[in-house]
Amino acid sequence: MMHSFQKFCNSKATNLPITIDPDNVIVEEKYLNILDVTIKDLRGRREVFDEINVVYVENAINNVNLEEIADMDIPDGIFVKLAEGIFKKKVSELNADQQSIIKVLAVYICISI
Amino acid sequence: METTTNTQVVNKAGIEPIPSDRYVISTAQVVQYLQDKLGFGFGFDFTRWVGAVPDNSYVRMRCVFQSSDIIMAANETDFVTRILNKNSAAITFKDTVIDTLKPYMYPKIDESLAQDQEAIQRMYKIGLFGERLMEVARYSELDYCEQKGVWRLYLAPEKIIVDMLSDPKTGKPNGDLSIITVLGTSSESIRWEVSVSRKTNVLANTDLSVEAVYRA
Repeated sequence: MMHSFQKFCNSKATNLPITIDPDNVIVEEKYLNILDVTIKDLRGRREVFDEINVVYVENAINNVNLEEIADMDIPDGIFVKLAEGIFKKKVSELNADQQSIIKVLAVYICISI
Repeated sequence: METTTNTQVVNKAGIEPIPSDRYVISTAQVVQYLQDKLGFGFGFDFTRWVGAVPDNSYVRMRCVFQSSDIIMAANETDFVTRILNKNSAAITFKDTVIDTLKPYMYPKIDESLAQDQEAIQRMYKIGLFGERLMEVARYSELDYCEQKGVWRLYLAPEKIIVDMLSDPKTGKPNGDLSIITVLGTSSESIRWEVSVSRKTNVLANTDLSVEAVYRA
């Protein structure tokens, strides 16, 4: 396991910036519960992602077969909810590290459904 | 007639087993879990309080935090908060820290508890009564100790254990969680034996009915 959740996310996420208009997104109901649970669990740790591991997310991501999810689309609303719920910001306001976090969490949520 | 194949029952009474997962959780694991969530270390100790019946007991978890870990520095707060703090000597705790600790804090213990006989009996049974209860009530919120320059707080270890054993996808344990017993006596040796009964549909016996095989 890597030293921190931040480093883990930086190593997994691309540098491609996410740009989403938060006014036009809808989140399907099937994602709402896990989004809520994940946000509640992680929002208190947003300032220490560089100091801690989030074992269940890291394990889920490490165990996923990349080929199986290559064609998977991640709904925009998941990024919007994660950005607002964890960082209290719009997606466009997140810095590169914060974007890496929500990219990894968005994949985690999609593969967990 | 439909028949259901259940797990083979091997006891004489034909009582269905309840599938469950058992865990033994140590105080070190509880502390490690909380430190991993907070991102910083803190002082702690555990004491086992024996209840009215020796088989029942409760574990008190005392925590101490450094101000630098839990209080927002003046330059981190916005202008209005800084002015308010300066003029009212108010203290602003880091919302991330409070957010993490809150689920493990005790509910407000006040006079209304005296009316709740069921709760009082339950607490008496596990040893949470009298001066012990008053002590928990006193430190159920962050309390500054001027002599030591630290913040004191009692947390409910059973709430941390429930969170530790929760499914990250649902935020809840996958079944009915119960603390079967508390083992050990010292801060280092205390551990909880926990059972999580997996939710199952235990069906009634759907084999042949009496009427079908027995002529009265």
